[in-house]
Amino acid sequence: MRRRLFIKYALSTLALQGVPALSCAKEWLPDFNAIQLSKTGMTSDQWKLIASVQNHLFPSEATAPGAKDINALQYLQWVLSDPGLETAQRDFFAQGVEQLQKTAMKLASKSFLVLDESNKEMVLRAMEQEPKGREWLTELLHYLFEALLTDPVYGGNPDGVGWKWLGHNPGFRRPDAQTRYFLL
Amino acid sequence: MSHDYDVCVIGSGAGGGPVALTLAQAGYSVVVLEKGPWYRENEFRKDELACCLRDAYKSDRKEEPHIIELENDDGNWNQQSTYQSRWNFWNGNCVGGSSNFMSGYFHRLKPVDFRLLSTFGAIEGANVADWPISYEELEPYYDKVEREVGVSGRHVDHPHAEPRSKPDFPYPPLQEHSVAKLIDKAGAALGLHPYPTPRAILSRADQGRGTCSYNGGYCGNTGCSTGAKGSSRAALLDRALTTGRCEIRPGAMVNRLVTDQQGKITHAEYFDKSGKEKRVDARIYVVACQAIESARLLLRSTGVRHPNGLANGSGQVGRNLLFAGGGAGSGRLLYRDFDKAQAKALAQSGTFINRSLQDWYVIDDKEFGPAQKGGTIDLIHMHPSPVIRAGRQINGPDGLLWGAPLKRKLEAHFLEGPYIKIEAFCDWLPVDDCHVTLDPSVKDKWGLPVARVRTGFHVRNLQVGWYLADKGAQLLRQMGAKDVVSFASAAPPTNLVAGTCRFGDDPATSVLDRNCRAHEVENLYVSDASFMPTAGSAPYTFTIYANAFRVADKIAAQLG
Repeated sequence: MRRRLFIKYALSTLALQGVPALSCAKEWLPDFNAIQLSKTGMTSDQWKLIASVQNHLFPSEATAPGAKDINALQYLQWVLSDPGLETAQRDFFAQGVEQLQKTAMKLASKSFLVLDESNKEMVLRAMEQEPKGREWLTELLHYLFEALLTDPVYGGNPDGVGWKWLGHNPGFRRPDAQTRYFLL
Repeated sequence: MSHDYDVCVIGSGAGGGPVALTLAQAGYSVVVLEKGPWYRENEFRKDELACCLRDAYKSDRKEEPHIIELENDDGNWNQQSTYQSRWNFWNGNCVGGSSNFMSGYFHRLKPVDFRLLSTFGAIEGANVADWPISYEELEPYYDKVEREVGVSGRHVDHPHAEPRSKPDFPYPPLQEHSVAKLIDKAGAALGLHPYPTPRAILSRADQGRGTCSYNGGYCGNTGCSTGAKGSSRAALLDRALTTGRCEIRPGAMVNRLVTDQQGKITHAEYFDKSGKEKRVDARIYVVACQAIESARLLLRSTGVRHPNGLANGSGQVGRNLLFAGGGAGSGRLLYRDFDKAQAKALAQSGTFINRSLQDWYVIDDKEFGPAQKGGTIDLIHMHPSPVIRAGRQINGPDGLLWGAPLKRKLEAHFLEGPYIKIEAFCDWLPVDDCHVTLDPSVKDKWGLPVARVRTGFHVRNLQVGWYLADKGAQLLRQMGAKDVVSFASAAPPTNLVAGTCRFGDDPATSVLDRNCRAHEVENLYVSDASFMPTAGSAPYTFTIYANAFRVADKIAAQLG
């Protein structure tokens, strides 16, 4: 499970180093207003591209939430600003964005951002043909699902919108701010 | 000679808890050394990130990997680290161990499990051995676990039911999901005997623990927030602490057990939370770190009299590692195939299916060959973890799905009716190529050699697994389930581990004696699943608990 690799570092750093790491964890609380893009390994321009891909992969619909409705972008920014993450993990996402733009320029001579939906689809399908591109898309889908279906205490799935859509019953007892996994 | 404690227990899971409780209640002083942290009830939440996506309750595989050896198609062994792999051999590293995260399916072993060799004869390529004790010797301890840990259920006789000294369970069955009735009906139509699955979950508040809050399939993998689940922590250690004679030290990683010139253990060396080396001495040491780690601790505890590892004169420590063989399958009950009231009942996600089949615990089917050991089939809901389930929907016929097609597939998966799973358990036969050794080069964060796990299997596991999975699939079809699939796998289930220190009467072929005391070390016991020469065809925790209570009585007798 490659996707687990990205985040597990949070635990290794935070859980095993006592008090200094804990304060570090507290700085990493998912306050989406306080995310510093410099800590995510990507610029705001790169994040615009990620947002555009997320909206294409998981569009908003009248009857079903999409990436925008589940805070998918901020959720992934929070994930990548985890101080315990290794540089290589962040690079993986940034390299995908680079590849995305290269592919868009090659196939449509424009930035991915300004392409229409059918050209976006063409570019993403072309990326899917490459093993690395497929992994990148799979990771983006995974974190879309995390933003859709993990507990709202982590900042995605606002008001349980994803759970309501897919009929999920979260069970007892749910995590609260003090019992989020990286604070255990 | 004075000691810090009467008993030092290493590991606080299902093997350690019964020993700590029994001996503390009997008036002995006990210290429990647990590698992991001590989470309280309040810290166990239904949080998919914590339990299942970030493995928050397990050791970090970067700092504490296992090296596993997998056989490739050419018969060679490929090795890989569990760090950055899909494999994780940690099952819950905290006070109470993996019993915090079990589902609590509590089937007893049966008399036949204690004498597989003499009942069915030798199997080529497998090291099958009879147990040195009988079912009758363990039965009082199964009974004790039902009361002390708390097992709920309703005894129903069936052709392979084991004898019981008490007519029924001390706690009534948990609330049942409507699928149970469908199973009973389908089972009757097929001439089978589905019976209520005994669960280590309280159906009423008792002993300071709450009753079940009915989260259905969430139990497996997540800790219990009410204390209803019979973890070693909630059911045993919390009570051991109230005696005032039991101390638990979390964050204590035992480096080694140190022995004197006579080969007796003098003290345990451990690293505390801050990494500082500490020691503790006791009259008796009890190892219960789960099969792989118990073997690893003994192998690295060399001494003048134990050059190949503690209690390893026979060379048997680490050998005959067992997982669980078996198969699995699933089927779908579609709401549209039922009337409105039935569909509403099916959609309910809190209660338990709690049905099992043991009609093939011994398979006597001429088409399948001579009579042989079979196993248990549990029927369960698919685990609710929604992120993981959503992740399984991304592959379409022509590549990745996204956009509207993905969203329609998610809706179909989550909203059209529950998936019912079958889990079939059969023996994982002991073989030469399934074992634990110390890795010659890879070290963990304390500088200790990590366990190297070879995962060879006997083809019989697969044959029986397929047989059982096929039978379970027939039942699903009879229930009206759609999209029924079933299969067996040779992959080792990493949450079901036993063996590595088998018990027996002959010191040349076993590590422990019939009381689970090391043949070669008078003050060493092993009380987790390591003792099992064969491990039966059901999840192991019930038997680990029962045997650990039995071992505790033997230790009390030795302490005098």
